[in-house]
Amino acid sequence: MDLLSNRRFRAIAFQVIVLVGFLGALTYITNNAITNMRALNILPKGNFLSEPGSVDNLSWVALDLMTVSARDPIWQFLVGSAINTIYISILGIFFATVLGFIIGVMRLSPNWLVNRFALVYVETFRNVPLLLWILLINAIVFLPWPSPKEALPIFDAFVASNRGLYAPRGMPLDGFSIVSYVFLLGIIAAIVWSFIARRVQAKSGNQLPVFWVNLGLIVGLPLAVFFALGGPLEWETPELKGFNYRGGVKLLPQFLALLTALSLYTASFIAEIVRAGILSVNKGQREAASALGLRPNLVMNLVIIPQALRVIIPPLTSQYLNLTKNSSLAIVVGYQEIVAVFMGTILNQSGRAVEIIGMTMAFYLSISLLISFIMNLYNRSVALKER
Amino acid sequence: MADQDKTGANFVPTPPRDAPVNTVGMGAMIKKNLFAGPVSWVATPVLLFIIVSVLWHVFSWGLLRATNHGASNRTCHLAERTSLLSQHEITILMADKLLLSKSYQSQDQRQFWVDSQSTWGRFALGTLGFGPSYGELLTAEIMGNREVSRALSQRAEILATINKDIEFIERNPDPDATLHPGLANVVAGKDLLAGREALKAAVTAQDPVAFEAARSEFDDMVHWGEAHNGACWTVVKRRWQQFMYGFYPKEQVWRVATTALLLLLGGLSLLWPGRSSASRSLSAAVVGGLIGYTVSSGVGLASGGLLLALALSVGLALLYEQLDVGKRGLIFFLGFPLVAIWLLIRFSLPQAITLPSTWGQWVFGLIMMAIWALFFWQSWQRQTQSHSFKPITNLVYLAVGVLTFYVFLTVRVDVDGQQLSSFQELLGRLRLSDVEVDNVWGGLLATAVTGLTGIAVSLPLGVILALGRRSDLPIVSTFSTGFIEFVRGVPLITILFMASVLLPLFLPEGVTINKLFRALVGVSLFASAYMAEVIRGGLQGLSKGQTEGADSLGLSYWQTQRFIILPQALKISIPGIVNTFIGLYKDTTLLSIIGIFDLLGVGSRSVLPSLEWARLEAEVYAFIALFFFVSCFFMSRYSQHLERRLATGHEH
Repeated sequence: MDLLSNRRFRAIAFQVIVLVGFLGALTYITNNAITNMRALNILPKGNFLSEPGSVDNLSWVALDLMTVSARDPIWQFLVGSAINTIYISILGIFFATVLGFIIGVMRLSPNWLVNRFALVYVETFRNVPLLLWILLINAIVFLPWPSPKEALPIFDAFVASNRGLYAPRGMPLDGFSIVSYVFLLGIIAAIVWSFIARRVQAKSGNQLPVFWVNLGLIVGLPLAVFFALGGPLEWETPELKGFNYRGGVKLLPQFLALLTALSLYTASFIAEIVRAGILSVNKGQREAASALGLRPNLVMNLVIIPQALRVIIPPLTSQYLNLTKNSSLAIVVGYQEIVAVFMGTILNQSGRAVEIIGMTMAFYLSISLLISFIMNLYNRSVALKER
Repeated sequence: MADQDKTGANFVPTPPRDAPVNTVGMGAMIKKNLFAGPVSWVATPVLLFIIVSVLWHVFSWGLLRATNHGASNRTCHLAERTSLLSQHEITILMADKLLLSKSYQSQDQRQFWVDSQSTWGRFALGTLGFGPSYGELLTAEIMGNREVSRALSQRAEILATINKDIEFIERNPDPDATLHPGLANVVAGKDLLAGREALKAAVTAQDPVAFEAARSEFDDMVHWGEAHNGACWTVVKRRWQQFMYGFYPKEQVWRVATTALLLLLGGLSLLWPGRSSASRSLSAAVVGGLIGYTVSSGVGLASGGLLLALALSVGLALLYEQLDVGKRGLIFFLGFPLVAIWLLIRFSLPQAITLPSTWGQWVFGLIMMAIWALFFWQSWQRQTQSHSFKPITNLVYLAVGVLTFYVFLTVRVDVDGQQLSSFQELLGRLRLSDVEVDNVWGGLLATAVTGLTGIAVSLPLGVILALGRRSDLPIVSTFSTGFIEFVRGVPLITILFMASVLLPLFLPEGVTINKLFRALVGVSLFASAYMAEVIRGGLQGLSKGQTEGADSLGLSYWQTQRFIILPQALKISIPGIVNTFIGLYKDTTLLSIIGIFDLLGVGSRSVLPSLEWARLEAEVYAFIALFFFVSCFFMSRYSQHLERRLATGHEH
């Protein structure tokens, strides 16, 4: 019995048991699955992705860049719906971050009304399921929108109807490409300029005006060129033709409902993270910075926020991941993203449950890994530099 | 010395002054808290405006203008439609009046206008029944007034709907539904056309007095309608049963209520262990009485009902006095799930125990008396040992003894010609029918079952996964890490789809499990991955010295975890654990997507698609949202309370 009390032996034996158990279970499950799938005649065979789908038309919702029509092969539906997921995730992350930071800072305001407002916001949105927010926002804001025939244009440019929110679209004329090149150049120049400014500051301690110069480079310069060329842009406004509006950019109500709910909901979590991050910075840091004579906004920008970011980034990453995964709830309002289209309609009509669920999961896993990777890179840049 | 005394005597201290006016009092407080700087000067009024307007809208919609009358959405919408119709009528007739005062009066001129310009008018003329008159068309055309043309085009439609509403309400009168007085007026004098004709006649006759009189009646209608076009809580009132129990058979609902009360009893004993024994026993007595009442009224037990309630009440109170928290917890955790499954799905115990005759009753009665005697004896022993005589406790014991004797041994009830004891009668009535789970369980019942099962499974599983992830054994830690990262990387909805679509494929042929159970598997696995990460955080928060200390004491791995590591790790991860619970609880709403009638599923898949309650999305979702808000809010408050109480205070 010496062997049984040998630590090494026990470790190996235990792991072997675990492994054998796992493999055994796996074999059993696979066998069952194969038997059942054979009985149901849904064994994976052939390349179902190139078979034609027969669902509603699918469009890349906001920009009409890509349209998949009913008889197109299934892989196009997969790509289109995946793009829709990514699209709404990026927009949601942007709005949630902006709003979350604002609410988080408001939560720390000395103004009683402001911080109570932020508190109530956070508690309200955190304590109700996201699915209900999506449905509720859709029901309160978007369902009552009138039909296109009855919808009244706002400023002759925007139309809010139950078919969608229409906004004017800029149609580039000749010469507009010059403006976009100048814009790109401006961005590059701004990056170079901030690099130079950092070098100068590291060397001499002089601070160069980075913000205003960059604003001029990125916004001012292209605007100047734009007006110098005589404004080579024509606005196409939506017009009522028949029973619907045509022209302009169309934003579907379900897209807007989902985006609003995702942003508001996630913002409440981000606000708490931001608040915790700012509070985690030692009070002495603020006092020392003030003692050095920095103005309050400089104290915030140069001392508090860089240190708070170290605490904020990891949980913020997981909120971004949550938002991306939560975009799958679009299925209840009918926004055409991957779960609704690929795992919903296409699964129902093709019956390829194993492949489709597997591919959808793989898609989300790779998105998760990608976001984690990007945020880790960013985290490394703000992490404490130990020398 | 004298000099000093003298100067001391001459010293007149300056009288204390009041604090500067602008640092004390209401004004200063407001200034400091609301108007401290230029940003505040802008932010405070803006926020105040937003808050007041949002609150006012919610309050006015949800309470002031809300109704809960009638038997369907038609009663609620009738007010809104009536007001809209009246508004349209007024618009149209005002325009008519205006038109009459102008010179376009001759029939030829009208005809000319209609023929030459108004293609839309000719189209509208073609619509039968409610087609607008020439004058009305002319009004719309000449004035180019969008509101008039809108009123014209919508009036017919609304009027038709209103007539349908009234017909529907008259056809389906709900016995206990009352119509709001104003609504009853509309339904009673249902011909809105009459008022309209009067108004029109007044316009044609150019009789200002009659016109004003007719108009003011319409005005009243508009105001009344506008005062009642808020939320329609009728839906919640009428479908309350479904929101709570789904499609659980109505006459069996007492079983759910009993289970809930048992849960409450367990909760009382576990979640507030710090209460004094008296208040604990009292609450146990109250809940016991409620359970007895629910059971007896549920099974239709007439005579024994009160006795059962009393017996359960006193019995539970005494049981609570006898057992400490640990034992109560053990009884609860082992007993509750079994009892709950029995009660909710099938209660087969009485079928197993059939008492044919009086001797069975005697055996039961004697066993009960023996148990009573044992408890009494124990209590007596304790009293003599501690030299503290408790008269009330003893009185209660005696009362229980008499009651037990009475209930089990003497009372006779006549059931189908047989003389039975009330206990036998109860057992006889407890032969319950089976209740299906799929498509029958629903509402809060399904939500609560999912939430509680998820919590009960995910905590132990999470601990195991967390320990596995931190394990030195490479295979164990790879498996744990792989599972955790996989589950955390995909949305819950895909896991639920997997559980509901793929799980049946993985089972041997012929084995089926119901939909709710499949969802439970998915939810529990999902929650345990998140739980594992929270607990891992707690484990990492402990210093290495704890493990090393335990090792040096010669404790085994499991002893170390059980006695040293986990108690500390779980304590510091309580906020995270409760957050995961809240998340899990909120995530139960996703069950509605895979076809289970949970609280949200009942709303979105049973209530809203029905004809009577269509288009009441805002009300239904707001009700469910409010429910979740209240429960989640209290859960998070409870976690903060627990955190404070468990803080042993060695941090600072």
